[in-house]
Amino acid sequence: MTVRKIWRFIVPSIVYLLFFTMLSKIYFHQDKCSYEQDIMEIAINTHTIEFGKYIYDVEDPTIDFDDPFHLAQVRGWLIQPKGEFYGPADADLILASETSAYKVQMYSEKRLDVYYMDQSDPNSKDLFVGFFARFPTKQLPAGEYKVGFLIKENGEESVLWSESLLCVS
Amino acid sequence: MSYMTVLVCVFLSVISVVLFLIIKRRADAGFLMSVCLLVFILETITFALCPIPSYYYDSVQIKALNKKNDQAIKSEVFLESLSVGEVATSFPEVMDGKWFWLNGIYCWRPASDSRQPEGCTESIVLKIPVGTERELIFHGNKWSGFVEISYDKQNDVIDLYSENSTQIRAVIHDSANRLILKNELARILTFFIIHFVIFAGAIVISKLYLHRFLLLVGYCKYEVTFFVVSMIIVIKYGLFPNNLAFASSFYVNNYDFGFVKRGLLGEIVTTISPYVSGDSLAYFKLVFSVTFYFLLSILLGRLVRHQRDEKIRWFFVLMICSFPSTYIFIPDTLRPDIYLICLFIICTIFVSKDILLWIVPILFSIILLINETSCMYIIPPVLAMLVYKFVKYKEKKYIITAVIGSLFVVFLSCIFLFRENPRLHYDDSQIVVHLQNHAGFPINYTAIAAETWTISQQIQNTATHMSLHYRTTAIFFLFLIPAFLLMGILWWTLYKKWDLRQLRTGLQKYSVWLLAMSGLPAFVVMIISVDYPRYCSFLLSTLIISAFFFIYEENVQLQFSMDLRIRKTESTILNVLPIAICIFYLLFGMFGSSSSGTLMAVKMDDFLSALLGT
Repeated sequence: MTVRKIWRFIVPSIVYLLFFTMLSKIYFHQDKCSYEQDIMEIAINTHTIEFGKYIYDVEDPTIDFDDPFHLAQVRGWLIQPKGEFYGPADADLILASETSAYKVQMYSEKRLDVYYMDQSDPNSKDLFVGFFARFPTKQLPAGEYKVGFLIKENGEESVLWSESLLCVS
Repeated sequence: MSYMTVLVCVFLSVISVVLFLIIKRRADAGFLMSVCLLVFILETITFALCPIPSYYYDSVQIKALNKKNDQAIKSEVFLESLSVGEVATSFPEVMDGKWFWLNGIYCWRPASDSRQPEGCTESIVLKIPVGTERELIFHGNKWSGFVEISYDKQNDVIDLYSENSTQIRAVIHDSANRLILKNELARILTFFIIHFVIFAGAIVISKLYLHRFLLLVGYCKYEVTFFVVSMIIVIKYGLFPNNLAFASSFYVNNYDFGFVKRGLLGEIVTTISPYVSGDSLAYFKLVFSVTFYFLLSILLGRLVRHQRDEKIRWFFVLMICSFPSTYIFIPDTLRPDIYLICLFIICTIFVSKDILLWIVPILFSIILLINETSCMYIIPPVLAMLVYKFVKYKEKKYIITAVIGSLFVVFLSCIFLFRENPRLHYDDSQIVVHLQNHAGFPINYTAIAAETWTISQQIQNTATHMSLHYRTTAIFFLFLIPAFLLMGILWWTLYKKWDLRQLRTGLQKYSVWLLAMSGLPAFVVMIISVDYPRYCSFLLSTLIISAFFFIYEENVQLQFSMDLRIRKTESTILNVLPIAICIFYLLFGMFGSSSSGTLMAVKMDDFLSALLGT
């Protein structure tokens, strides 16, 4: 057999193998929320940021019990000073109870009600200071979780805790 | 008179003069038409980029008085917008002072209110365009107080309190007559200068570059025609930046609750990002539709060039442009149907070009996972193509591909038919609530709930729909007859032309007929679904694509004659009837997803109702 013939045999075999793997994965896919990819268990060993460096608001975290995965939603805004003005901050959400901690990916959204921002141009990209995060809580250990931000600053990560709590029952 | 009205008048006048000159043979039609086209394009760009502004402005002061009536809770002021001549305009520039923005409304709150940001002043000065009928639109509610509007030494105090949230319009006095006159003269002068420059530019460009331009356009005229028509349809019927809730629901319908029908697209989308914002989805749909029609135009251009007769080439372009099935995805904001057609075209290319045949069964599975009913209208034509090629070339690879593909289809269809739907463990409302959490746009309850319906429930729904819309449905099917007539003529002509050349075996003939009929099982799906236009569109699309496949395979050269008579000796020549059918569809518009969503059928039904008094 020439190399070309082997190649013609190997490529379809790999593709079919991948295809059957994918097919069996989705066939046996049961009760797994896509938002699970946004939440990851971590160990917190970073230092805490002094209060006042960042300005934020976390608006009453809620859990949607109508949702079969008990999807929680944390919404709010987070800004940091950039010279004379304020701008969006690069951060992830942190949840921590006494026993475990999780990092949750946040999605940004435009906010027109953050007083610190110059809102003369409603189309400004700087107004994307809002955030929201969604994650399933059904599999999370019950308890009270502190809500905070894992902020990336000059290549280093640090944690800013808010006063908000999320109760998972 | 608005700028737009003047623009339309100028445009119509130019068209009239040009037509007059062409009829009287006083000018070169090609040159004049190119000037007109260029003027139209330049006018559109100019209007979009620099609408003629107001040249003079009045300064209007708005002062929050920090006073309220007895019923009001607070003395806040909420300024929404400005309207000039009852037309809402952009928010005026603030020349002096500062309030703050709250959800798109410019607001003022007393300094004692901790929510008031720093640096806000009590009064602001706005730059208002000179004119008449100017109004400031405030938002009145229980928290609103008094505001003073000062202009030209006149002060008006307005109470913005309202028991219910409502708009309160405050009239700004008219500008001085002298100023209005100066402003209008400046606007008209600018208007004429802009148009003079545009006309002069268009004439110069046409004189210098018309020849080269025509050569360039002439080289890819079929592609350009189809793509331009497609873009007009996308602009006219597309809902960008909005999403249609029903169609968009499928983009988040995933496998979170287990392996379900029509979940692949949603699974791919939510795996890329679990949250799908409305804006990103709308942009994706827009980019996808433009790319789809661009690639389709290139494909169409390549296919029609196989025909030697120029008239036949244009007939095919006209047919694709006029058929309602070509653009059914656009008003529906890209329902996943478009991906089925894309995959069908890819399968056709693979089979026709004899490349990557081994991947076709995988494509079958993907097609089926996007929409399981495709086993009735997408899979059979591809199988028929494989059978046709097997009969023609006697090569085993075609039949092996067909058998493996069929096995995949049977396997997946059996899963969907006989396996318990995992979503039955949940309420439909729970599923909709969860899927809504994935979407930044509203999703449709029925679109999601219908996926858990059994076949008997589907038939019940069809019966209910039919009893409500039986006349619209009947009109729709009548409306469809010319399309099937055209497909019949096309396939019959192709068959006759192919059959003339040499002696064919019975098996070869059967394989061609199988190809021509392979889309017809789409009617089976219509027993359990009310989306007749969708399935008819699939059917028409598969018939057209299969016809192109056949023409390409056999290099059938069609001919055209401007004759209405149907004679047996000339059954291999297309006459004007197919053209008439294309023009019929061009005039009466496109299909909606359901017969009650097909505008022409609904209008006919309304007309009949009025006529019959029902």
